[in-house]
Amino acid sequence: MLKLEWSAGTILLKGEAAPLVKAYFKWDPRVRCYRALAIQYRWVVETLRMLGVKYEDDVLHPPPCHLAPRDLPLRDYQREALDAWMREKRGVVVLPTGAGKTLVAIAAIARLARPTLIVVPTLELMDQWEENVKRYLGIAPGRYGGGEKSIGCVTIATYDSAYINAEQLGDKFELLVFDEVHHLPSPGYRQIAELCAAPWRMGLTATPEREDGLHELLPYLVGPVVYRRYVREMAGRWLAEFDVVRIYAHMSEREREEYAKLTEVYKGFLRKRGLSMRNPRDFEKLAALSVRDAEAREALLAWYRARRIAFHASRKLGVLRDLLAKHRNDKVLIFAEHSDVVRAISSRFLIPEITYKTPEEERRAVLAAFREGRVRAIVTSRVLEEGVDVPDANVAVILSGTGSRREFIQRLGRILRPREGKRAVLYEIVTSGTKEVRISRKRRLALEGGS
Amino acid sequence: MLPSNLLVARVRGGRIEPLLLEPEGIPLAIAAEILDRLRESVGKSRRELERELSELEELALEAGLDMRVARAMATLALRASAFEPVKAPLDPVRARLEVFEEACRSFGVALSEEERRAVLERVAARLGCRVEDLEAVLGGYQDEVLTKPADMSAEDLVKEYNLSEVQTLLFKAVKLDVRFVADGATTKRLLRAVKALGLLYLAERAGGGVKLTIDGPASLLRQTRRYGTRLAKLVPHVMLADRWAIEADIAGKRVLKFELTDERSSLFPRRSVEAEPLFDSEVEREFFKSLSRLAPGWKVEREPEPLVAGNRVLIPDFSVSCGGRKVYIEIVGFWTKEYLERKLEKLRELGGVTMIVAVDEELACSSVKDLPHEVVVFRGRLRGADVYPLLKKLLGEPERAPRSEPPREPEIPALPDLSGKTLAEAVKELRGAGIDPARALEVLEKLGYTVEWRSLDPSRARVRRARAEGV
Repeated sequence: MLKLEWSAGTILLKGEAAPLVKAYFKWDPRVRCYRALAIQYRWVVETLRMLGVKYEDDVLHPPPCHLAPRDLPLRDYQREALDAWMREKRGVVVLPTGAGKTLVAIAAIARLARPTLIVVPTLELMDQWEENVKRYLGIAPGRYGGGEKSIGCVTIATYDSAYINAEQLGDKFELLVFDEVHHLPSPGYRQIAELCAAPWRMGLTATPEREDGLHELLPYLVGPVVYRRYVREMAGRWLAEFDVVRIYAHMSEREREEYAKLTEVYKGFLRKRGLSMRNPRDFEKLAALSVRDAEAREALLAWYRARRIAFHASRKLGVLRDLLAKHRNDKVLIFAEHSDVVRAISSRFLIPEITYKTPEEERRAVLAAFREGRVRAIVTSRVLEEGVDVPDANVAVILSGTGSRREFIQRLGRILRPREGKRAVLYEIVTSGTKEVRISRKRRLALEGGS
Repeated sequence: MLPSNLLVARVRGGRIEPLLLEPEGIPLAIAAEILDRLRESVGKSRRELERELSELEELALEAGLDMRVARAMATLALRASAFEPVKAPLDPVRARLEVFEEACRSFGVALSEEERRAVLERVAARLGCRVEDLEAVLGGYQDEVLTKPADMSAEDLVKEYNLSEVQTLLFKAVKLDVRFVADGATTKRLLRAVKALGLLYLAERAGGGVKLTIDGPASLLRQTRRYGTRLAKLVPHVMLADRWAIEADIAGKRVLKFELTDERSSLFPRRSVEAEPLFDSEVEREFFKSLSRLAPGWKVEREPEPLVAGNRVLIPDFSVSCGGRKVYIEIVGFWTKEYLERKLEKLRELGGVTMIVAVDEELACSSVKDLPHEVVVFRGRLRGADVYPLLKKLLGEPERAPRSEPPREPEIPALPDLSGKTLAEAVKELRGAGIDPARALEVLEKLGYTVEWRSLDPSRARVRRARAEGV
């Protein structure tokens, strides 16, 4: 009889099969049978069933699972999202940060009651998902990542750990949930989806689009977008009302001169070589050129230094101080680009920092203190952007940031958890007369319907 | 293995060559300097050491070397050293939180220098420390100090650097080809590593040896770097072969070729390998003994060089040679059904050599009789006498070993008395005297020892002096 077998992220087909089935496979001379990526499992099985072929199936080896199927109470848009996904049991759900994406996935797990792997970007999110699994499903999940390796009926893994251990995890689950699924299409991470046999897949994100265009792979890896709502549609009812305020900081006389000088070095170089900077590829070319070309190197250095001046103009800290004075009784999140700047702000205003260097123990203690109101401000680089619950923060300050719309939407999302009478405010501090003005304009496009 | 930004490599005409250094001249001097500084720095913090060692990067640069060389060597030397956390007067995490919470209680955030000062003084008083201690804690996290500097020579460090560069390059490999000439035991270890790492291979004959094309299960379907780290881990195993050459496809914007051969083996560390039991089973050991006694003129080898069967490697249990002729012997004993099937399939595909397959009577099914080899059926245990007539036919009458054959002792440097030692210890001594562990049993017997086997574990088997006339 025809047999399907699991083999380290792939499936083996033993015996002769119809061409329609073999189309998913390739002959492997090393083991002398047909082999396919595990992601094809669902389509192979559907084809075999359609053809009415009898076969032995030894692909999935799920852990014991004692979940009884049930329905969780959901908001109307969450129910719509779940229903849309349940039709094919695959696809991406797009909801703004703070709208309760997690619950859509948890409700899907509760409904299907089958072994599930949840893949998340950070250890914080792992903790947070663990709490939700315990609370809504009543079971303790397994954990893969940060040195832990345990498998449960529901298992939570970081992207890194799921990538490294795809061979061990790929045959254990029937449902895959990718939190912040926009990470998935990158060349390494996409193998998590390809080397896993789970037939059902759900992706969650606030913004699936990637600047590199790789989001086009999502339909293949998890399925198409099956449900989507935008921030503006939801503010006021399901998300807090918010304002975005831009405040200009002016450079000091010395900074202005230095900035002008550096900009001239950079632009002069481009003029001299007849180069233009229209897209990231042009910039990469300049970087490549700078390895051998001293002038190009000088131009590149000038560009970096000018950017640094714009990002960290000394007066920005003065503006920040004024904002902190105004919001002494609010819960404030401050975002800055470089970890040394984060450290300086932490030390000057005596507020805790969270960067990728912060030890795990301190990170958890700081977040707990923030939740309980024992500290009312946190300064961070990029760590808190994704998904971490920082309840009732209502003020965000972007001291410096990139032009990325996703980064902007995520930072905004951190303050949008709704509460009675809450009105959130996001400040951008922008150095006037520098390229930072354009960067800010670019990221704010995220607010205009589109994405 | 190193972070990939410390890889120094040159791309030329579709090929990539990592920078490999002779353990001499400037590289050796830099390695020595790194190790010296470490030896003088017990008690210094890791951060301080990293800063000091980074000064050597400039030195390297001035000497015309890539500065990453110095950083890579420092990284390796630090990794081979031991550090311990310092006992700080304050628990930094707790102290920092105390400060932040005090600031929040008093002011929300400390807006002015006066507010900041007030907070720090209050917390210092409460924790019984100085304000400066708090400032230090706010400025950085806890560090660790050097307790045991790396114990290696400068030459070792340069060679470790070379190996690390090669392995770091291979992180991005999508495929590795290995050509080698090696004995059965070394080949077996390499193949075992391939299997343990979840990799797959195709074998073919190449020159006097074997060529393996190694990648992973999914490589067939995707060009992936997923197996790169694992391919890198094979390199030290490959370097143990008598002759070797590797060729890898390195993935990047385009695929680059990387080649390395044993011509440069003096640049790499030679890892010693734990001696393993020479025999997998009692049957094999007995057989070796009885066959060696029957025909002293024949050369009997345990696990000789690997053969290629179809596209897989077969390491026969024994070979017996005489003059230019050679016969291989494979013993098929009890094993799992899958193992037997695989073995028989391999044997069916093996051609171009003379092979005797010795099969236990109870396994002598029809598929065994179809094998394109000489088949000998034995009952219970295989003895030399079972295959002797066949060997005589294939190899010709064994020459009597001349009694006047010069004794082996002159080749063997003076050895301490080995009686009473475990086999593992004895093998180590012999290796120290330049004797191949694969020949250890043979040599021990020639020296007049016998081995008392309590199990197949060589650390439990004991060497005894058997007969006085041996030496």
